[in-house]
Amino acid sequence: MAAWVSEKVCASLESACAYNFKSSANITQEIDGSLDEIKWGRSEVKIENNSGDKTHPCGTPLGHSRKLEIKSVTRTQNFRKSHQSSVATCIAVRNGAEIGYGVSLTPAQKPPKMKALILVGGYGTRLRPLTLTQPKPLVEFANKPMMLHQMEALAQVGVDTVVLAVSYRAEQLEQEMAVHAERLGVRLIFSLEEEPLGTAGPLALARKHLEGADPFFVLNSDVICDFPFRQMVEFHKSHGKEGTIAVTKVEEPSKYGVVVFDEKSGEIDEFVEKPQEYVGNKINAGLYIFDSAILDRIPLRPTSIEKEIFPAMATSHNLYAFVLPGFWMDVGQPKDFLKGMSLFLAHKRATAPEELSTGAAIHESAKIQGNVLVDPTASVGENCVIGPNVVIGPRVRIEKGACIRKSTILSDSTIANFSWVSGSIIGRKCSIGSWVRIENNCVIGDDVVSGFFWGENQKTRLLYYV
Amino acid sequence: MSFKAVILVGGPQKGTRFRPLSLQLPKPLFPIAGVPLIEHHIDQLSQLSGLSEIFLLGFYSSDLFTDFINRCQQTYRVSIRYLEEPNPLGTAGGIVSFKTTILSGDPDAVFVINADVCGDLPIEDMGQEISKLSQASCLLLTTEATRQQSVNFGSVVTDSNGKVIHYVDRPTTFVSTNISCGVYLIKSQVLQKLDLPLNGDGIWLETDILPELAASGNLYALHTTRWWSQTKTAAAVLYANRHYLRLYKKRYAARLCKNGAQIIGDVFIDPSAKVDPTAKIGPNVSIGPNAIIGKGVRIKESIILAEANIEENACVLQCVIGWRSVVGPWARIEGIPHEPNPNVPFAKMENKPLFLADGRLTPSLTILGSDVSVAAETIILNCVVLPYKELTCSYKNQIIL
Repeated sequence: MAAWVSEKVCASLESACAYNFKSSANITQEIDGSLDEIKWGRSEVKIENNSGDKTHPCGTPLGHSRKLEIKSVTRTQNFRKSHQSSVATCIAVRNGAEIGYGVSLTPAQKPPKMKALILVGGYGTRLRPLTLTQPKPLVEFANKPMMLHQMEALAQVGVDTVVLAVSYRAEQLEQEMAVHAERLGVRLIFSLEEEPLGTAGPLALARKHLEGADPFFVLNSDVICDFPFRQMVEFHKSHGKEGTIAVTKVEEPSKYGVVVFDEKSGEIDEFVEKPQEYVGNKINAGLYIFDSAILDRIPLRPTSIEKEIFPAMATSHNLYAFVLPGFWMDVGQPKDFLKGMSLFLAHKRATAPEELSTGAAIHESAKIQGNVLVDPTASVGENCVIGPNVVIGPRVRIEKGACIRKSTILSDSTIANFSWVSGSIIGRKCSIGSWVRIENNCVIGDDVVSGFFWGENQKTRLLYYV
Repeated sequence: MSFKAVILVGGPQKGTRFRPLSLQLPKPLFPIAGVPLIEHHIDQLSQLSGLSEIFLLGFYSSDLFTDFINRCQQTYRVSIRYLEEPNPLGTAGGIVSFKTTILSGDPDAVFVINADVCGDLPIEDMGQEISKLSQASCLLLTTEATRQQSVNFGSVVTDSNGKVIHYVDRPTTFVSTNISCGVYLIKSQVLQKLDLPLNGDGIWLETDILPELAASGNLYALHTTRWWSQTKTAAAVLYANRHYLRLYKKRYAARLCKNGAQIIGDVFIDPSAKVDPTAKIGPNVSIGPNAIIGKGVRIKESIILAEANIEENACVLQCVIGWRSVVGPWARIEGIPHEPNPNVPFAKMENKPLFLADGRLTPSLTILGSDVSVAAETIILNCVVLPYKELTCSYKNQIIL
């Protein structure tokens, strides 16, 4: 939730130091004309006319306060109906300490709000057994539900409505995502298809939620990347046509459908499914922006967006390719889930290394190698070797002398002494015994208790004995 | 009565199925439960009062046994001599060639034991039994086998008095579930009469002497229900290891390790081995002299030979780790258990061929020959590794030459 407040509002607060406020000329003017005084929250705040001074009373230039967070909103209310502004008092927190109170205003003229549709689809069978006890979008990727990575990125670019296109009802998904949606200030709509509608049909089904003057996003739920939605929107607006597809470079294009497009303009020529000869190395990344016009192309019946809708759009010169910068991975199956995890961790290392926390309860003799994300509530025992490319979830306990490489350990699991885990996903609340060896894309379901076992081959998904 | 004993140790051309464990050391000296295979026989024989001398008869070069014999003579206070056969002349050929030496001092009877059998041999019972049977010229030890497996052994049919009325070695069809254990007690006068065939052929106990004695009505059998097995293949050593460790509880409880690490079940650790207290060892593990067992190591159902080094957090299950071999941290060496079918009464070890009929390797123990090194964090599953190999990645179901 962004807060727009004028400099003058800040200036009048008691004990104000720095706030998470953006300077915005529009809002300042609006306050100038409409507000005199607010009695609100814990303090009496007087709003004075804007002097246009961009310097904070304490001397901190505005715009240097980006690390502040709004801890709680005590009240909100439409202040004046004519302007449709809402006002709230807030507590500003920096470095964990409350440093003052703030007032936030939601401007009368909101920036354009976009909509998005996420193709959630079915039961996530390829990630079984993890998806037997939890809907796939809630499976934690880098200690955060897979779908939340997308939701947060969408909210950040001002998406206020997200339609989840699902083919089955999952109460767990609805409840948990509703909590996140509220936190992110996003309206969540579940669109349930009664029969399978392919990859395009769900758009027709959710038509009434997507229509409007603004373009909307469509995302495959399995995709993990840096989500450069802002650049995507700018690109989409720059060419002004019906649709934009994000494309990404891959090493072996013959396994995928390749997008052939003009490298300069981005205009898509054609799609070649599993090309035998090299035609290009960019594939559909599963992230799109469309104008409402696309909805006229989609009938309400099983339809493939990739095979039926896109080629037609390309023929009419209405489809453009946006080349994704940075990493990308479809994490819908175990091997790619782990590959995506490694890419994600490398990306974090490059962009926000402080987020690669290594937790507090790591024994001093344990070795952390390479990019590792350990939840602060997890513990790692003596003489362990963790990494490279390991994610350890909340409340996980790694006992002494364990070695974990290229793996994700989901929450509340225990890995007992001297075990060796590599290239595997361990479900939640698992108890892995001592001297266990787990490898080769093993996926251990939730609540598994193991004695001795090892990953036999790539086909082995679940192996356990008590 | 006075006795002597002959242990048939064979030679380097024999015991090939014991490779790679017999490539550098004569198979009869391979340590099981920390003690060379034939020392168990010597130990059991030396318990018999009236036994004056033990001969090791074979065609290995005699110096290979010198140190072993010196040590055993002191330990068991019995005279031991090595008799080197000039050329292989069958299982009885050597006995016949050396009969003057063997029979010097006029023993009443002579034990003949194949080195590749193992078990809780009722030596004393055999001695007593033969003294009761004045008409017997030879007593052989028998045990029960399954109908199916019996044809792989000497089949013995006895009457109610224990007299053998029929003996046939490895019949093609079923004859009897009573099988010969490869342990014989032969009266001296029988041996005295034996001569090598004039045409230079060898002479065999199983096919030449025993059937003839059975036919003449002078062969008797003593049936045992105690543990007995063969150690023909390398895969059989862990089974023998387990049972010899169990037998220690009766007579050599002090040999079993109780502390120094987390010990489970029967474990033998040579006093010169260095074992980290955080290691978990057992059941049925033997660890040889100067072996090093690191922190957090797990060893189960295995033999670790002298000077092997198992580094921290490694896991060794159902394996034989060769002399001076090194297993890296978090490596896992694992074999497939190989033992008689526990659901079939009297089942014996199957001496399966190395490969199944369809060409796949028979699942069995993992055996590392001497001086093998295994890289950290790898898994070696169900493999036979020849000496001096450096393994840098994981292997499964292979013979690594």
